Amino acid sequence: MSENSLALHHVSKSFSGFTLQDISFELPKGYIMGLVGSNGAGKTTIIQLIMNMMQRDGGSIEILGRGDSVSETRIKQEIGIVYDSNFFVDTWTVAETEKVLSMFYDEWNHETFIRLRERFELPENVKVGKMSRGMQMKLMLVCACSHNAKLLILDEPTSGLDPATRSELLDILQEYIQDGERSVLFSTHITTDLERIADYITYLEHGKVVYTGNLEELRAKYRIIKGIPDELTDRMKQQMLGLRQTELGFEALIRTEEAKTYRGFVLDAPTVDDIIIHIGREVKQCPEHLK
Amino acid sequence: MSGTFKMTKLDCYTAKSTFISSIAALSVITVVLAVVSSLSLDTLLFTAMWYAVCSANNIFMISDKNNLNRLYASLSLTEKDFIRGRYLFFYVNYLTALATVVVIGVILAWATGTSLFIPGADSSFFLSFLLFTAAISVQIPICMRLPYSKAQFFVITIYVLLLAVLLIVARRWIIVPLPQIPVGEWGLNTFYMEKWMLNILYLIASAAVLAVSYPIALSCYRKRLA
Repeated sequence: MSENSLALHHVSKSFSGFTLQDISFELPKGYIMGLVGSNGAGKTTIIQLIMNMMQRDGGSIEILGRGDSVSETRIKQEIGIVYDSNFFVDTWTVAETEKVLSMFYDEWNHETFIRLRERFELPENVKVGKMSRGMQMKLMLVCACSHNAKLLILDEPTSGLDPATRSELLDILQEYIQDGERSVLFSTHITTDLERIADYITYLEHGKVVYTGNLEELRAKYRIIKGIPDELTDRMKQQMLGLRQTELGFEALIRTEEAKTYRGFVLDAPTVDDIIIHIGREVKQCPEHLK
Repeated sequence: MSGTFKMTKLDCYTAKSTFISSIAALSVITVVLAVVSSLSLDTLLFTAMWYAVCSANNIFMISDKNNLNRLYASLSLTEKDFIRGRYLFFYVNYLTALATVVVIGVILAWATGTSLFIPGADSSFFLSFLLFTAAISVQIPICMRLPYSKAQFFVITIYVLLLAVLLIVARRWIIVPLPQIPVGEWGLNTFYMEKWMLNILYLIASAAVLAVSYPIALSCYRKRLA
């Protein structure tokens, strides 16, 4: 039995104006992976391909150790999904939503649903269409967690949530993987959330994987360098990624192995945001760097 | 097969909000029809058929409005379950519409002291079933391929044309029910088209239309996902 909850091998997909190229990553069981990248990088497309909402052009996707030949209906029983916006019928109440969804899952747990519903303070008889976006996100999460899913896939689940709810959602995700058998794939723009809970990260730009692996290893790969414009040389500019220069100073990302050549400069450990911003800028300035 | 029934149930829950208003509107239409023309089972059956063809389409509109493709993709349903369930949902609508008009019709007939039943009403049922099947067999594949906003125009145009053609042809068959079709080579001088044979023909034709429509709908849905 595979130790990965999810594995994508050389997945590709092209449609008008966008190409997802050679996407490969692995999410081990019992861990949380963040899927990050700027708008249009391909995060949602990857989730749609995993959910078989569109057909891929090439490559393979293995979910919970099972590949394409295994019944999709069986695999779907073990996946919980939360999208970036409501995907239930506006006129359903919370109770009706449970009634409908429970038909489709062999391991639907009413007690879990009620416990999570109460924890998120979701009223039973309010219609989905009358709920705030935050409440709709909570309802999707409650449903995704109520059928003993082994893999949770969340597409921008924290955007639009207030800080307290976001924090609670992150706590729930951490609790969810405690048994070591469940995993979470989590696409987001809010990288502080990722830094709090993700073990692994897959970073995409323009439909390609820039980095996939351990989050701490990614942060260890780079350093943020800051200085004044007079100190900046052409050699440094060539090494730097996503250089941002003003009259007062400059800031860029450098590879950690090159850090020892920058004595006397301010070097900081980057956040995931720093890495995304600088690499994103670098790719924009010199798209060939992505190759 | 259970996936198909689950899909039909899901569709019933999805369209639940429009269900009551739909039944109410059909009831009003039935009463108005009874007032402006003579009430017969024939008229009621065709009214129910037309109404079901129009109203069942709401499911595509609701589904697009709520972006339910994402819900369907998350559920343990096969593509075949999804398509078969949708066809079945249309027939549930048809039967509901039939039940509504018959109940209202019987009540009205009882209240006015008239009789609903006319000779040949059984053939009208089978013909309305065929027309219903033909209409949804065109609608469903189109709606599976295109978003409802785009499909709407084609759906309405095609089923109006199709039903007009079928009605003209069918009307001739009912008024002149093929009393004598020569099939002399088989040793029979004449062939009388009994009503029950006609009914079976309607049923066979319905099954044939469905058998053609279903794989097209499946292929249209797959193309939409591609």
